[in-house]
Amino acid sequence: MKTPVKLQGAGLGLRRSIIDSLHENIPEAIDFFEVAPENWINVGGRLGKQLRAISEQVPLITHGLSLSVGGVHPLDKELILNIRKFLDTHQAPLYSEHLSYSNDGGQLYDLLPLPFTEEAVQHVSSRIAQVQELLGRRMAIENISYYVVPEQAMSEADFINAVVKEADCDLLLDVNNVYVNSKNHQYDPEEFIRQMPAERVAYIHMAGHYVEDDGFIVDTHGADVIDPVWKLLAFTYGLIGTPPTLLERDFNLPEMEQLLSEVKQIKSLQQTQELPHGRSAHSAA
Amino acid sequence: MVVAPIQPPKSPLAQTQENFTRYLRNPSEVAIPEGLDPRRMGVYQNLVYENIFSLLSGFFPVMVSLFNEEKWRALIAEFIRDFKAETPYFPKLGEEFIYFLSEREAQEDEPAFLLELAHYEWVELEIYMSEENLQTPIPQEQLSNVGLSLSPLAKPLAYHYPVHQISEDFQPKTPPPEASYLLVFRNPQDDVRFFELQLFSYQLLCQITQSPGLSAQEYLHNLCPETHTNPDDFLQQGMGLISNFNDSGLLAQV
Repeated sequence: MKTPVKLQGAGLGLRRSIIDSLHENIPEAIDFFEVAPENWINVGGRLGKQLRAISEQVPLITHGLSLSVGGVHPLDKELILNIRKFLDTHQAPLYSEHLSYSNDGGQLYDLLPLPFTEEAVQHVSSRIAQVQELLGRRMAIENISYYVVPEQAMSEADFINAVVKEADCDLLLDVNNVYVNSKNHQYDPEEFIRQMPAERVAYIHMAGHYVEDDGFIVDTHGADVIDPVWKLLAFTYGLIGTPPTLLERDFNLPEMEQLLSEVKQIKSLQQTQELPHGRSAHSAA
Repeated sequence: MVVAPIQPPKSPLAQTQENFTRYLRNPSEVAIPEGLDPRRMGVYQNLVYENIFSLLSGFFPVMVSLFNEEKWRALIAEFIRDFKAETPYFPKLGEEFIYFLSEREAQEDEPAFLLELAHYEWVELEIYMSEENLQTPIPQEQLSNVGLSLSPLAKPLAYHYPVHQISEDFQPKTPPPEASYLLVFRNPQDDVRFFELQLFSYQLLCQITQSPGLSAQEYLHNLCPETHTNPDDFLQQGMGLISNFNDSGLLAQV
């Protein structure tokens, strides 16, 4: 189940629009990349070669979008086995997915919110366990940003903890999502992070978002990371150590220099935390 | 008497999801699930719609350019409402859209070549992304005798409309008398190219696709009309063609 590739430091989400400028000359600041396997499985030609060139140089991790692990329609076993093959081909040390669903018998290609109920905990955890079985490895599950709660019988933090425990999986802690949700659903983001199972955090996501006129936040991954989210990341590091951390940027991509400055900012926060006075209890799985 | 199978009652989770997604697929006719904030449900509806809109617009640049924005947006809304795309792979969404177009009844003001154009644009993308590699050319001296197959990186295509010429400024209302025969293929630089085929070349490539494993000689004999006045000429021309495809890495030995 263990993989020899050691993952640490700061990574960048790899979009097709930036791969052309990266595959021959990977900036030193980038310790790893992340892709959505559903964008790359069975893709060859120029794009396939560029991706292979990248995964031969630095670790590549995978962040799925179409699994619909919280959905009620049958799991797509072919997809899972193709993901397994993709992970093996690229020696990808991590696969993560969202704690959500996207399939209603057909794909909606988006991350829809699950009700925070015991029924949903049981349902999604047993499916995550099945996926892990088919993959032959653990996966990490991400706390999504959500705009409504279809039914709330427990808190979001309890929901996440219950799923991670029942499924025996890892957590991809998306710090931006914690911030977005804390604003949209009025809770204390630091308190939320305190409630997360620190020992299960495989890695962290950082991103920017869009604030509408009335303060409502839409998680677009289309803007720079804002200061309060940087502060929340520093708080998280102080609490749980410095797991590998990835910058996601899906829209309105700025110049590479700007992206790199955010990747470097992640690194510098990690290094500050890792100085002797910092509490660096975390060792990434 | 036919007895309908008894459906087990839906679990609360299944019911919640069904209510939620029914609204997202058809927001103009389906009510927002009870108790959920309309504005926030609108955010979801917008995210689902814009994501699929931007994916499909990227896959079919020519087709998009022929629609005015409002009509294109309406077509995407119809796709989301009426079609359950199954592929989990984003690059394959274009293929799902072709299924959708082929199953639906075209509207009167839509160009008659729409489906053919969409298919052509999709094939170009499919070949661009294919995991296959070009073949090492078969040595010239063996070429006429070994069994052949056509690389998946080459697709012979026939359309009623000249889809390769269609643009905002050229939108034929009726098909020309001659069909368009095209070969779409990938070159060693991993670019996708096409050229127009003579009917004969199209038939030859279709034969190789449909019954792989015959020799060049056999394919050409099968295609040579009995009434042909100079079969040797025919064979020579045919071998020239096969030799060109072979040089481009588009033929494999089976």
